[in-house]
Amino acid sequence: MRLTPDTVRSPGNAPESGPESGSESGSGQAVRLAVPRGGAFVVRWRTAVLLVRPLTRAVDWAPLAVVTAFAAALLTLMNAGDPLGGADALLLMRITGTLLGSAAAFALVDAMSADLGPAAVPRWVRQALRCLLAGGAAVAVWFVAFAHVLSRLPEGALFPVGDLMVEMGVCLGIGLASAATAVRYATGRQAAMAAVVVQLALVLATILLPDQLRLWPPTCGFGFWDQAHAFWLGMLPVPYVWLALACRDLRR
Amino acid sequence: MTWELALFEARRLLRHPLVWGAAALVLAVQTYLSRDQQPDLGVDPVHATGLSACLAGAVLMVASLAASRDGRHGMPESLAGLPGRAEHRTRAILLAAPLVAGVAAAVTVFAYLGIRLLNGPVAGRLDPWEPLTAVAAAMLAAALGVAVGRWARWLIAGPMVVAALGVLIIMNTTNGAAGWWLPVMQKYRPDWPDRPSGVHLVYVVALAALFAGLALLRHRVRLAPAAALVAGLGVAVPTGAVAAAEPPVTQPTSGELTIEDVDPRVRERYHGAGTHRCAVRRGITYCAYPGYEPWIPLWEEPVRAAVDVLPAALRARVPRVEQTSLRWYLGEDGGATVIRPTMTWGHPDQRTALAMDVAIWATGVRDADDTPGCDAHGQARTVVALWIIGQVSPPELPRALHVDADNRSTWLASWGPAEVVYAKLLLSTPGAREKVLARWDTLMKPTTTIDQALPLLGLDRKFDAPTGATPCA
Repeated sequence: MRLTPDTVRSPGNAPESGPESGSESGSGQAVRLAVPRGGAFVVRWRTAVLLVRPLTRAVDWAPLAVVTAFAAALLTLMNAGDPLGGADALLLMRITGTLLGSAAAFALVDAMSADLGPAAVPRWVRQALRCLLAGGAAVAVWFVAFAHVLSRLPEGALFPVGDLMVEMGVCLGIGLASAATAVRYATGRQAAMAAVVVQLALVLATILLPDQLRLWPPTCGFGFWDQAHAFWLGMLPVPYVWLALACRDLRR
Repeated sequence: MTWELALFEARRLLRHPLVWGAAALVLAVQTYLSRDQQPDLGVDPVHATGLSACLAGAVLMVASLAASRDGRHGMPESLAGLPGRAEHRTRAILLAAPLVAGVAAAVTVFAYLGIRLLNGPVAGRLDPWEPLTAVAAAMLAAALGVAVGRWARWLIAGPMVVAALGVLIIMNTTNGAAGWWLPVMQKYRPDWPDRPSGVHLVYVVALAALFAGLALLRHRVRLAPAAALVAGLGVAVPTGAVAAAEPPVTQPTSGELTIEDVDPRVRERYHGAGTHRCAVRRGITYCAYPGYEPWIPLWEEPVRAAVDVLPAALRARVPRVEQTSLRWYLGEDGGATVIRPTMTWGHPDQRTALAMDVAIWATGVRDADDTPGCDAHGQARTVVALWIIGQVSPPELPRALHVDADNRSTWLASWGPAEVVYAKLLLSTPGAREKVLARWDTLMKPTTTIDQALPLLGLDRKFDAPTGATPCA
């Protein structure tokens, strides 16, 4: 991975695009980059920037769009006109977060991945970019949903913003990491469903633990809320380390 | 050809880890959740329906993946050259998926009920429509999954439908009127009115037919699927409306309750004539609601343990042990019956609560009628009361006891660590019963302090145990 080619081909004209969007992506121009003396890092950085546009077109945004519409409908229609109860708001935010994480995982499916071994841009850069693009969009949508829920809570309700963000961070990381692992072994869009399946399995496996070990306290700030969220915070790096490992090249 | 395809799909679905994994998980979780509850055939099948909804969620996703499989992997081009059309494949999956889902749900639900039957004396009355609804709900999920897979391009649509239904089912805990439009209504208590389970089962089956027709109509308009859709709709709307017309249970509010607060559908059951079936066992009368008689030996055990340490005069006039629905209890018997098992049995606190009922009755440590709560610190009879409770479970500081899924019960008297430790010492003293019985009348006087009682009980003085400001009368 120490190649420093003096010409980096913009991947617009096929390699990065999935079958759905392949026809739209790029004009196929070769982009000439002068290799600066700084070395590979700068080249890689500039390549990554160049990749953003074609990847934005290649990523399948439909799942995120569908989930966004669904979340908007859910959060608006649930108890429409009345303030949301704290427990209901918590449940809605958790479900929205889990679904957004699952939808973002579809961005990791790269129909061309098997043929991109010799590409100049390493796989981890491409996968990391996909994670950033889709994960960023998912987080943005989640923040808007969160702001909406906060505005619907009754006056003075306790709703710990930071703790929920940590929960969301772990869920998004687990979704992305499981999909990133699955796309290494399976082709096709359904590989991204690993995100749903792993999240579902983990939720089912942890939702019924006894109160002392419960990871999803149903009432904000009560019971073992602080202990559970200390655990969530400790767990935060784990899925991202896993994600980084899963984004490595297919053959080494 | 459809049959061969259906067999192939059925084998594939049966082998799918999400299907059998969810079935195993649901069974394990449901068994774990009800581990310390005695089986109640009125409630257990409803709970099984609730968790079979988790299995149905997994089935929905798998069925939608199976239905949309021929649109992935570059299959459309390959399949175009083959004789079978997409409609055949949909029909095959529609035959296979509900069948596999139904079998998985049936195995799960009936295995669960079988495990429950082995768990101990079975109470309650079985509503046979409930386990069948659990099976039908899984079949509905399979048909809905196929429809979603055929009509929605995005794979995320399956999980999204699961999430939407899941939220509605989880949040529908109050059994609100619109709740019966959902396929699963998972919350139920033994003393709630009967559920419209038969008509709801018909509704769920009709919905399954509706979605099966809808899935087939994705290809072209044909008579059979259109008829299934119309018939499904024609049955689902009236049956759904009938079930939804069933008003939710009226939860009594706090405060003074009258017979008007009792849901009219259960008034006769809990306040009519002959509500209880009674049996006399070793001089004590135990009364249970019909169907709950098998639990009498379970109540007898803690009651007997507590009663056996009392003086013979008291043992001869132990009040009736009468099962009570705390939800509908109006206090109309004016405290004549004081030992009350509730509608559920199994939590360790429930044994403690029965022993506590005996101890309160025997020692008379209770608050004055007009002011709830009194101070039992420093009174000798508090130690004796804790010692009576200690025959069943170790004495502890005052806390709310779990007496029912919805109710906690607290003895409105306060005591402290000194009383608890003295009661534990008394429990470990050989011959304690004889010493207590010999001085029973002295010990029972509200004015007898712990310090005065210690020599009578043969205990050493270890702590200060002062009496409180508002001592119990």
